[in-house]
Amino acid sequence: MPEIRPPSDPRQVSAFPTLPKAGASSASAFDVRDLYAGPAAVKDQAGAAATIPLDEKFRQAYFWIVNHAIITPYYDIEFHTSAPRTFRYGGAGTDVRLPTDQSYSSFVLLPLLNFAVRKRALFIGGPGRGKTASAILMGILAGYGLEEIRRAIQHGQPQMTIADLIGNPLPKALIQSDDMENIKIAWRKWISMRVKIVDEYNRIPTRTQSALLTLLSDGYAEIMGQTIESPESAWFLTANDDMGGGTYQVIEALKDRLDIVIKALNFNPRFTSDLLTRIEDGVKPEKIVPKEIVFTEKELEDAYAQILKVPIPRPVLRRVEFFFAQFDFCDLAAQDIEYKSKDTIRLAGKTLASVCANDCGRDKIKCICSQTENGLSVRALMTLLSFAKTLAWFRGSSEVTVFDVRQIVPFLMHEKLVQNSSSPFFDQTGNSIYRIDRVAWIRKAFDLANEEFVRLDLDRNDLVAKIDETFEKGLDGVPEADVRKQLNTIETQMGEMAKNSKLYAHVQADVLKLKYYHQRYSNYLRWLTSK
Amino acid sequence: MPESATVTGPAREWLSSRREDLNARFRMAKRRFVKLDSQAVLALTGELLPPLAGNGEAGSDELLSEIFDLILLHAGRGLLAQAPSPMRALLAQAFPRLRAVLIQRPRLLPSALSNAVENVGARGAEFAHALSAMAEHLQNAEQLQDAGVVLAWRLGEARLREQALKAATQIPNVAALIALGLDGWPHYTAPLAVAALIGDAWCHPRERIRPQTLLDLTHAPRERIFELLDKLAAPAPVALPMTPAAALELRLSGTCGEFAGYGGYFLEPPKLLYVGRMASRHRFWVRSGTTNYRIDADVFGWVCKPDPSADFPLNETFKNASALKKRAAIDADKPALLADGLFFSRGHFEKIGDLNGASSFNICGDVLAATLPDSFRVRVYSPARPVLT
Repeated sequence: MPEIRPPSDPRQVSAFPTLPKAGASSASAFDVRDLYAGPAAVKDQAGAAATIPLDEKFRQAYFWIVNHAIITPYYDIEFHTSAPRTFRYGGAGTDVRLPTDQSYSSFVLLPLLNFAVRKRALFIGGPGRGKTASAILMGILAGYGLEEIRRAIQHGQPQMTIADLIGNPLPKALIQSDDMENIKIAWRKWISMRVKIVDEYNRIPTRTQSALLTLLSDGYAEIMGQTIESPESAWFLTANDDMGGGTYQVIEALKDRLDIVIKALNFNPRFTSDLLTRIEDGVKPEKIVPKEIVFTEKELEDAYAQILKVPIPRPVLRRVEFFFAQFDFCDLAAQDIEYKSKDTIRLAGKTLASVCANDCGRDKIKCICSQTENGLSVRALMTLLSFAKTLAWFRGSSEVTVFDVRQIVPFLMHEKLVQNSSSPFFDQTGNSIYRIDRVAWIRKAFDLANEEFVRLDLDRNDLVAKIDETFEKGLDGVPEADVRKQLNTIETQMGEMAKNSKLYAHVQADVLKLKYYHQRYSNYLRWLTSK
Repeated sequence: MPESATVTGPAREWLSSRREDLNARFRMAKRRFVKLDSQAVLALTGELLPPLAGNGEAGSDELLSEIFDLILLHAGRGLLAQAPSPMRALLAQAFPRLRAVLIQRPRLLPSALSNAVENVGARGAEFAHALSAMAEHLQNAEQLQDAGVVLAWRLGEARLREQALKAATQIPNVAALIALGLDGWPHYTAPLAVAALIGDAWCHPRERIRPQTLLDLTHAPRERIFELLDKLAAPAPVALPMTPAAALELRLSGTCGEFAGYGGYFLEPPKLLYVGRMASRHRFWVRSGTTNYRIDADVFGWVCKPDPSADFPLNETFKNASALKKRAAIDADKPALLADGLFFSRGHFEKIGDLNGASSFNICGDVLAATLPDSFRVRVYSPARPVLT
């Protein structure tokens, strides 16, 4: 039986299940275990943790952190099983919803998700809001000791050198070696850890940032021709307030490698008594993390493997594709369809704002493409898919839902999308707030994309789906007649699209795919007829 | 918290050596229970710890630590304020008698038993006293936990029936008999009691075995006992006996469910639901108002809980014989109940006087459950089982 303590005990871990499933009846859930469970703390004599599913263990970790470690009584990642009750407050006009399903604080949930899926998270926010504390907790959950983690944190500061960051050659080896390959390097221990913490990364000098970039993006570090590989790890970086001074411009490539942004939320003063209790009892959460929520290396590997297996159903994937397509496309960027991308504008040294000022025959308020200076990279798309799977897995779902995507996407795109604040969208009543609140803005963009997707009935009217299906069967053994038939279908389809629709973002994506299929079938036909 | 001057011996030594820690625990508990009184805790500590201190053998330290935590918890919740109190009976009477077993798993057993006392509800005191009575017959932690399961079942936790019947075969005979409320039975008759309950848990073992039969077994050969075991454990008939020659001998075995005003769930008289293959002799589903409930019941009691996942139709009685005949033309073998208490099976009718006006029914094997429109209780009928001689 797992260890259960009173709620007030900071070592208390939430009882399984933390996420009771709908339909499970309290009537049927009673056996010997329930007879002996109750307010009195029951401990397993052997101290062995009960075998519970890994997603459940992550949820227990989440609830331990919010209940005992980080006071963050927010539920900004909302899920609902039915329409929530909503209250509108005057002033700027704020809607407050009461979630009808288990909801979470982003400040605790997102680091945990990042920890599970081994990506790179950036904590941002004012000083003293628990950014570093949260990162340290992730290190402890990975099984490292507190001292070990603290020593391993890389603290950004203007004098930081590459050697400080990744290591230096042993002096003796430097003198004695007659070959670069023989120089032994004293690598810094943190490189081999599964949780890596870089505090105030924007105080690292630019030159040293490049070394950090190699390690962060490519998973290895190099000095004097010697390299060390870093294992798959979860990264947690914190950023210092730019106004504090002593900061450097972060190189774009490094910024781009950061997968998710976690905003440190402000403290609610109504919870000051909790702080007082902490002071009076001398409670330091990082010192009392229960062993039941510490993960072994194998558990983390298994969790990762489970996450990868969470399926994304086609309707959800289509919505993600549709949403992504909205940002990069610009009809005025180029003549050829392949180059009609905001990258073309940027490479020409222009801005989207200047190009978008011209008429392209589209409603600039409605079209999402007018809202951003840039599009999203493949890397961003892959990160979104990974995190969507992780969130669904964390919630105990058997597959990713559109709600998972909706909740996670703002945090992933937060630093990736550059807003075109001159877009007429932001001048609409009630939309000016999106110039400031990026989370709400990105979520709104996702909602708008979904509404358009539904309006176009793209679940049913997917003009490319049938051709996708046929092509996925492969080209091997397809007779010439069938190939010609497919080519004809593709050409007919493209003709219909040209006749019935402007070249919108999603249409561009479809057309390019049809062009791709056409080329593949053509090449195959050429090969068939040349035999 | 100052040491008590009245505590002596190993308990005093233990208290002295852990003074800081115990004081810190008291402070933590006081945050949770603001009315927790230090003098009361002191008095309880002085009363309850010494009988459990032992001689410092392995497990004593953890045992005293767990008991101290229980004192803080229950004193804070006001469950130890005054006698009689089930929790006090457990800590003051049962635990000293169970000490030899408790120290085998001191971090598990005291809290587990404390929770069990609460979970059996109004009969917590009986639970504690029965544990006390069977203490000397239990040898290890597993037997204690098994005995607790049998006891909880006998005190009304009907959902534990199957586990309890299994557990009853794992514990010493005397403990099993005490747990089943058959204290006066000779120890060798425990298997008979369990067999009787396995055979029909709507029939109390006392209804199946005469006292004289029990006495006669003192010198009976083993074959005789095996013979009785087989007869007792024989399963109930598959269906209610209904032939022209055999009259229906259904008797009221029990009632289950209760009005919300008397501690139950029902705001309106319940009606039974038709559950098809999920039907069981000991489990029914009912609807009261718009809420469905599951009831687990047997001779020892019943448990009723809301069951939102239940999605079954009502099984209302047939209004009159012609409605029944129409149904019977399709399925003559399926038993049914008419609203005037007429029970129909295999083409034959029997009148059950108590069920005149019945609103719904359910039949599984030889058990008939029915409801009346003005009653908040489900009536359960089953045939009387033969008394063994």
